[in-house]
Amino acid sequence: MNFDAAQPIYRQIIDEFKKKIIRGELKKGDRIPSQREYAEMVRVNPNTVQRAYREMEVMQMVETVRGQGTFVVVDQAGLASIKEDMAKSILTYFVTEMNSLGYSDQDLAKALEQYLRSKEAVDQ
Amino acid sequence: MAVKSITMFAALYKKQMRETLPEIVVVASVTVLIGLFVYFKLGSLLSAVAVAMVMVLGLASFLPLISSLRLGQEWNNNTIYLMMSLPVGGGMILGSRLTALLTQYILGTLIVGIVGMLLAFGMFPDDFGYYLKLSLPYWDEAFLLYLLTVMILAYFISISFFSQIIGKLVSRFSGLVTLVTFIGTLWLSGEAMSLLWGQVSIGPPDISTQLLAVSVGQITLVAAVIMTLAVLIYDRRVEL
Amino acid sequence: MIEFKQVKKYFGTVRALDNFQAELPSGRVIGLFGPNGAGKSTALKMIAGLNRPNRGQVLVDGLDPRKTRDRVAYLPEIDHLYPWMTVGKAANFIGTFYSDWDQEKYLGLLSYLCLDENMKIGKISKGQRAKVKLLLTLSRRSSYLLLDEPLSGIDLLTREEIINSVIRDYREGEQTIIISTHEIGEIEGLVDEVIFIQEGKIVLTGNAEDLREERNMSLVEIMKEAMRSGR
Repeated sequence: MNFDAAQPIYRQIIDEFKKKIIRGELKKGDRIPSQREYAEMVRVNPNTVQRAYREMEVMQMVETVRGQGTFVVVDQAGLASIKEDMAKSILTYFVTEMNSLGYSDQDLAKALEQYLRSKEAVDQ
Repeated sequence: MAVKSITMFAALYKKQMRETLPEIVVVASVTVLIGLFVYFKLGSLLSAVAVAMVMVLGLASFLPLISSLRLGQEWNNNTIYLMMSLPVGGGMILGSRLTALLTQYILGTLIVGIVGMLLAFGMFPDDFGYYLKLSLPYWDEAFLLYLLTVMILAYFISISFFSQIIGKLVSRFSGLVTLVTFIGTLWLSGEAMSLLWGQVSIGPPDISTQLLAVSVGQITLVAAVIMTLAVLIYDRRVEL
Repeated sequence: MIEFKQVKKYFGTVRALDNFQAELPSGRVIGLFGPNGAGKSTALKMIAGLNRPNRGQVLVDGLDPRKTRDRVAYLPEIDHLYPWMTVGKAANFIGTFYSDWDQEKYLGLLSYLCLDENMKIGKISKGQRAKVKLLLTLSRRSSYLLLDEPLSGIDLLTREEIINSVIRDYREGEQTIIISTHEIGEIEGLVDEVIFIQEGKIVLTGNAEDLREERNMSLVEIMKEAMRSGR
């Protein structure tokens, strides 16, 4: 996993897990790597991983059972809300960036539609 | 639980002995070669044998002083970084080096002594026992004389350590500073010793033993003072 | 905890540290960043007790660094090992001096780093020598680990091995690791506190993640900016 060095790494770790849960690669009850294993895997400071895991616990994405490991606890409802959250933050980013380029809300809606049509054409 | 000082000293001593091994091998092989040469080629010339043995004895005594220059080498090889980061003070570092150099001297002279004895025995098998018996009453003095040579070497090594450490306090002309310090310390300590001599009085009957004993005591004292100074400066002033 | 109290250090007329004031929190991985000659090595040597301030004071756990050498593991930038020793001999020698030497850890790291006890230190490649230095430093369970430019002049693969070893070794909360380097990009993800120094002065210090969050910049960019404004 490659991190964007200009963004907090613990956030990117959380996002990575969120994506995995949304894509169904991780399901409720699945065990995720221990903090130490994960730190070694992605070559990141264990304190940063600890921070990410702690936040995920607070967000009730995962739960750590003493002596057994950390498990995903997100159910169907939770999954939907995570998905919604992520989509919202991506949209927010998109809209702010487009606005900063001078696109009004209508313009950007049009631009998006156009883009999707052309993409569809290319895909076919 | 802290590591025992004696364990650390032993490790340092072992390291020093390993570094000084080449010199011991040199002394041993030169002595044996010269012994063989003398025995087979000059067997009848007693004076030649004596000269040859004095020469190798000189080598055995002088080499430890050369080996003492390895202290300064630690700076050139950057190994001083390792030495100084170890949890030991200058007393351990310099003490183990001194002990190893004295061991080198004792081993060297022991080898020369044994080869000399063997030569003497090989050349005069009949008279050897007689002369040995004749020398018995003088063994006390011989031992003191030997101890004196050990302490003289310790004295020179102390000056060598002291001046090398002083040399490392300056960033330029380190070699020159070392040399000047060496000569200066030699001169100053010589003056101190002649002052000390004025304080002692010796009388009969065993003048030679007393003379030797006083000399040993005096040179040990001077060497100890110089060594203490070297340790203090190593601990307080040396920086990397 | 390591404290620098108004430390000044001169080498001749060169100012290596100039009113250097810092508290290095325990249990963190701290990056000491700055260009060559900024005073990084001098600061690390001071913690290791290899040199002393001209003014001010450095304290390790409240003590003079010369008294805390047994709790500090120091990896200098230069080759400080005896070239005639084998890896095994050097480990044996160094291990004798520390009660926190961990033989099991040593053996584990030895095989992890693909090193052999019989390798002679004077005869191996530069990269291997760097790994041996790291091996001997990490084989202790020391409270403080000081790494001075552990990656400089090392090939890419070996760099990864070195970074991995440090992460594997790090014991959260117990151990403080201080890494000095001018190649920040390599260890972006490794540090959690950073100290940027320039000409012996601290120009910026803080938590790496917080800095990224505040500025939306990488540590490399943050350092460039700090250096510019520090001038």
